Amino acid sequence: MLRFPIKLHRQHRFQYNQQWYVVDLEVGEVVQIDEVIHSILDCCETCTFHELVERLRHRCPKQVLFEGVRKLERLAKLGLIISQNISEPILSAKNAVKTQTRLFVLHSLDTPDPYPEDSWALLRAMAEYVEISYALFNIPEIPSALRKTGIHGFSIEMEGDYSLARCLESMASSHDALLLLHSDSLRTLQLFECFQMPIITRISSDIQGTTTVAGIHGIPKIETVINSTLAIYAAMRFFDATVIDMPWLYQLFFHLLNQPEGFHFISLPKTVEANRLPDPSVLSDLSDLFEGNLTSVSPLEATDNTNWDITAKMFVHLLRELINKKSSCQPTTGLPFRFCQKYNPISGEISPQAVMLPSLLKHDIGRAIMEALRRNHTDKEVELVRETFAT
Amino acid sequence: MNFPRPTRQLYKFTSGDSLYAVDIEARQVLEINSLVWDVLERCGQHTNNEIIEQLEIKHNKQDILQTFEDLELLRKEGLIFTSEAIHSDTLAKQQRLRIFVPMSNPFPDDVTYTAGGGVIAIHHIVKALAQHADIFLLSDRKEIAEGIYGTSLSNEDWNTLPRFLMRERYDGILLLHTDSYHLSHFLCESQIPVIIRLGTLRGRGGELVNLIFFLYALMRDFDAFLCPAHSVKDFYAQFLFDTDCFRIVPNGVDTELFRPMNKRKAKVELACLLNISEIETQKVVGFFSRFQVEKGAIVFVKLAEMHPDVLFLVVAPTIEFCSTRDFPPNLIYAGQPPREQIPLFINAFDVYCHPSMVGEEVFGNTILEVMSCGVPPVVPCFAGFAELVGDAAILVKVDHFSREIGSFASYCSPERLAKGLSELLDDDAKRGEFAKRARERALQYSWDLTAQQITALFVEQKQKQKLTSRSNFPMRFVPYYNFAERKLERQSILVSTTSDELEYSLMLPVYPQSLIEGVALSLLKTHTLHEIEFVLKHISKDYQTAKDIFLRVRGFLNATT
Repeated sequence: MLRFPIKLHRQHRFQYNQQWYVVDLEVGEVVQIDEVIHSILDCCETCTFHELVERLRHRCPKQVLFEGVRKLERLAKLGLIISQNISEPILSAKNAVKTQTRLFVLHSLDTPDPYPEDSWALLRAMAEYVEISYALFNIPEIPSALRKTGIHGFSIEMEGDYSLARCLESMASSHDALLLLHSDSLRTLQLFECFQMPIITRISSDIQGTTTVAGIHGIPKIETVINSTLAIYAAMRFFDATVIDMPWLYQLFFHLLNQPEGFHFISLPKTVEANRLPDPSVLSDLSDLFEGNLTSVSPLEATDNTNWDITAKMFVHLLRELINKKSSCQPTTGLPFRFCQKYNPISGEISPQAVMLPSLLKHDIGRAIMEALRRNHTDKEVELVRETFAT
Repeated sequence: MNFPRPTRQLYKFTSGDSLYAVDIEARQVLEINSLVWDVLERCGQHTNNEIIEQLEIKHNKQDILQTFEDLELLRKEGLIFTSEAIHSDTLAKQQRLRIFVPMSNPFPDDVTYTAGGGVIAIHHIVKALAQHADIFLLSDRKEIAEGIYGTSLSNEDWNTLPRFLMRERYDGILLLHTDSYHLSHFLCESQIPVIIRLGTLRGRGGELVNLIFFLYALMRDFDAFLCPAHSVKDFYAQFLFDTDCFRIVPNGVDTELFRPMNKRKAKVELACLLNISEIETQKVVGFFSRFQVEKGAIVFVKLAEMHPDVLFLVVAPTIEFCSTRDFPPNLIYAGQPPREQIPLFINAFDVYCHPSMVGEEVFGNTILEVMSCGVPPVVPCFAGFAELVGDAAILVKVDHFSREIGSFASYCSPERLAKGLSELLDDDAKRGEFAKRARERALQYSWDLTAQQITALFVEQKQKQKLTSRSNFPMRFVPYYNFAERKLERQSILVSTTSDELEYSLMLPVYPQSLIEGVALSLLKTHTLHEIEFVLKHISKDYQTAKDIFLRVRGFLNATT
């Protein structure tokens, strides 16, 4: 992950036959670069990521710029242009404390509008504790409600998932964690593929007022929310979290998933919460899931929260906990199983099997499949597969 | 180094107190001194003498001459003035492939007294391949024959095989002996096409089948099995979903060495050589192979007993396996002559009988050699024999076994074979017609054709390799609440945005799939498609379901990567 500003040592850039090249004298590599990377390198020593975007936004489209940053990251990963030992960030003394936590905030992947005031109230409160970059879809300027809060707003054009993912990945790469304010469709799963940082997905507020993408399963509203949350639950890594601000919904998942790990209840201020009672028709639809227990839940029971600051503190506390968890994360390496089949010359039958290389030791194939899946999937996902095929 | 030379790809710059030169083509940066700087400044337009003349005021002449030599060394090392070298290297590479042929045994350079058909085939394949590609064998000798070179693989190289293969710039690996699980190393560690020749079909108590299953599991899309006959592919199609990787390249024959002779003269000459006058006077049925039970030795003895008026001549290195048996007087063991003399023995046969029923049988090299001499064969309709002989032999019906017993994969009764022999022995015209057809058919085969087909296969697989990439579609396994059924169920979600290169994107951001499809697509990131086949066989409810899913996954993979 590149963290701007970047100090460049012993680097020489030159143009030859209308083509830009950069020589990293530290590692003795020559790399051909494009105009965009050249521009980024031009100002990367003095700008934060936000400043860099601001400075270059008039010279090239934002998405091209983000792609440039992404390319630069790839080159850095290969040890080219920006060798590892010199890519340490230069921290600005002024913001040293605040920049310890850099949070990238997405409103939603599905609901560009309305942007409810409640979300902004939460962000304003959180901005006191962490540095926030807020991606706004299809809104050219940061809303007045967020001005003078220190929140840096980005406008993103939703041209399609492909460019969106590229764009977000580039932008978020210099942050410590991502907060998705409204998660209400399976599209959220993309985030777990793109980001290696902790992700907090927020299942928030007024479900009935939420506009969701119909058609994935043809499930309207509450069904979509429940099933997309179940999907997020499976995709969550041990350093991710889902935050629910409605006690009744929290209890629903608590019951449905049998005390799910990574699910947190963070209350909203009482004044807001009071308006968040579930619609009776929703409760009626879900009565099977609660087995009759939901009626005993009061939305106000779980909290004595009085203002947004308390909510923000709870979020920040969770955020730092997740970042710590992530920093202690060990890469998963599964055992080197290979799948094969064995021919029994006596019975003439074939049976699939797993062997380990290079020893060729035989291994139970069912367990080997689970081990192999563990490389790319969370424990919860693997357990789900195991349970399915065990039955 | 002689100047002037083109300097279009050279760029010089200073950084701090240091001077640098960049070879743009090779992406190489060199720290240089002021003398080299001055030489490079002039070398694009001036001769060596002119450069010396211009620089002598500033630098010592000896130093300038030394600089010319240093630059030549740098050029040879590919650090500067590389554009010409790269160009010529590319051209050379286009002309001849470099094929690495590692073998556990030394290359059989001399096969004069070799009896094993497999070893002889390897000898001919390598020799013929060397006409079309540069062949590298594991050997201390630098040059083994024209186009065949030795290379050594140290322990360190073995441990870092990918680096070794890249350093040597091989285009492919040809494995001629399918005899060890260690072959898997080449499939796991190399990034170039691996072609594995299947010289045998099965046998050894299922050991070979299991080895082939294992190698199949590890094969990438650009690897292949080389089979001398379709029977190999047909056999494995019983057990495997993807038989496209079984490529048919028949063995060849030396039609110059194995050519028809005047039969009368050949018989006289052989009778004289072996001091057996009956060869000259009687009809001769030949056997030319290892005289083993599995190769039909017992059946051949029985045939001799059934045809007392015909001479049965066994040309084999040994009769050890049948030595305890009393042979009928009309069965004569002629030993194993040197290879150059074998055509004389074959030409003394009136009919050839090859009653082999061993499970390992694939092609029948000796049948082809006999046919090349214009001798008609009588063979069981087994293994690749029918495909090989076409209408140039009497094919005898056999009973195929679904499983091997001992090493036998079928049975051909002596009575049926005897009938086939009589058909030719009793009808001179028919025998003559079959003899003609046999030679004509044999002329369609040659080791050079085999080598051409193998080379073409390497070119094809190299092309495939360029087009192959691993699936990287993220999959998620998720629970979902089925509101209609009122129960929690499971599914997989295909996410169409990838984390790495973002090379592709489907129309929708996510697609729900069955859990089993999700497992297959997920495992494809770290396992081969063939391994997925075995996983599907394990987790699907039946063989057909597994195959259906396999075909779907393969189609999706090919269409999206």
